[in-house]
Order: sequence, then C-alpha cells, then structure tokens
Amino acid sequence: MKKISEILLKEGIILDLKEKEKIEVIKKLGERLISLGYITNSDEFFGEILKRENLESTGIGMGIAIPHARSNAVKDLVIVFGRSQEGVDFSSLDGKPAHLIFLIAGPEDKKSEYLFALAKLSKLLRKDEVRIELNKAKNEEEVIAIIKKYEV
Amino acid sequence: MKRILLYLNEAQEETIALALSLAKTFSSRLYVLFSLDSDEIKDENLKDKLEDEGWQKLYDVEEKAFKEEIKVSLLFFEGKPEKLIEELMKSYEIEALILNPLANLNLLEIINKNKEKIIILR
Repeated sequence: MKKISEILLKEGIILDLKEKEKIEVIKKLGERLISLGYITNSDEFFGEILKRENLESTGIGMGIAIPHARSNAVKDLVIVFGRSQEGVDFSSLDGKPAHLIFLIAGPEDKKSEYLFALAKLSKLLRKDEVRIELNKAKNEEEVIAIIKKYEV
Repeated sequence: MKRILLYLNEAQEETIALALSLAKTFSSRLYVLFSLDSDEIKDENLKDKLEDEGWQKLYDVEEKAFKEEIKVSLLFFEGKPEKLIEELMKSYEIEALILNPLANLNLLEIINKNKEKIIILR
C-alpha cells in the first residue's frame, strides 16, 4: 500500500482557496485533477463525488474535510489538497468549518487501497500537530514534508 | 426510526448488515461509532493498530452505505464506550442502538441508561 505522501500530488496543492461553498471547493479541487489528466470523464467523476456529499458529511470535524469518490472515471489513486483561510461549511458533526480539505479519488478496482488511504489520512489528521503545521505551511513542499514527517 | 447508531467495535458482518438494512428500510441516518479506550490501552503500537483498523472499518461501512444510498455519519472517538454511547444517544437523538451482544461493553449499564430507546443485539 502506498503512503499518503506518495499519492498526494504536489501540483494538486492549493494553499489559498477562495471558494466559500462546499460544492465550489470540490469543483475547484476536482478541476485540478482534470487538468492534471487523472480524470477521463468529468461528469461521471463529479456525479459520484457530489452524490456522496448529498448522502453524508465528509467533514470529519476538527477543521478537516475529506471528500472522496471511487469511479471508473479516475485513472489512479490520488489526493489533492486545498486550504481555506476562512473555512468552508462541510456540515461537520462538530459544526466547525473545514480549513484543510483533502480530496481523494480512486479507480473502481482499487477499493482496498482507497479505503486504506482514507483511513490513514483520517488517522493522521486527528493529530493536533499535523493540523497546526498544515495550517502554517508556506508552500507545497512544506505540505508534503509535514505529511512525510508524521505518517508512519 | 430516523436515527440509528451502530457500535462498530466487535460488530460482525451480520450486525453491520442488519444496521444497513434497517437504515434503508426506515430511510434513517446511520451513525457509525468506533471507539478507542485509550486509558485501557497502554501499548502505543496496539493503539496505533486499533486506530488504523477502526478507520478502515468505518470507511468500509460507509462504502456499503453509499452503495445502498443510505445517509451515514462516521464517528471515531476516544473514551469509555459506554459513556460515549450514552452521550451520542442524547446529542444525536438516536432512536435505536445496534451492537454485537459479545462486544466488550458493560451491556447492563447501556441498557439501564437508555431505557427509552430500542436496543438491538445481533
């Protein structure tokens, strides 16, 4: 199984998200995946990810959201990351806005790797020091270095 | 029955299947709890392993719920499971609790503190 730092795309890191709505943020991050060539069918991909958002809250609390989707429209298991200074309402159960938003996309046939990545990332982001450092990271390299530093 | 809580620790496939089936039948939101009693687990490696397992189990249930178009919320908390269950039952106005009768819990305490609720042991 790959580590989070191996599937987090450096070119997929946006440290100054301006979007204020959940759907806008997901579209922004999804479009980054499209521009990087990881999505073969954008309608199918957005359909899957937004369907999930309608059914559940991918805001896991503590200022974190992990929107995710597994679809045949995705070429490989990858993560893109966006940081919002203002925060975005992801309907988290703790009622707090999300500042750190990780979008995970994976192909249909990589279920175990996809679930592994979701679990590893959720666990990693529960650590206070990881969230604090990610909120302070100055550039893409620092984000990846923080993830590498804390993932076992 | 609009809100169901599934206690995921030690839940077997049939416990999970029942929770999903009831949530689907009643169009309920399914809250899925995995708890980690950090005070009881001193070994950091074991704690780490259990946390990994917990999140994977949670996302596995989420995936199944998603396929069935069931509304689901994942909950991962550290603490005494009996206390966590009691608090969640109140704060989310849970109407039914589903758990494995062999789960490592003080079942009597849970039943006594949730007398008004439906408790399904499976």
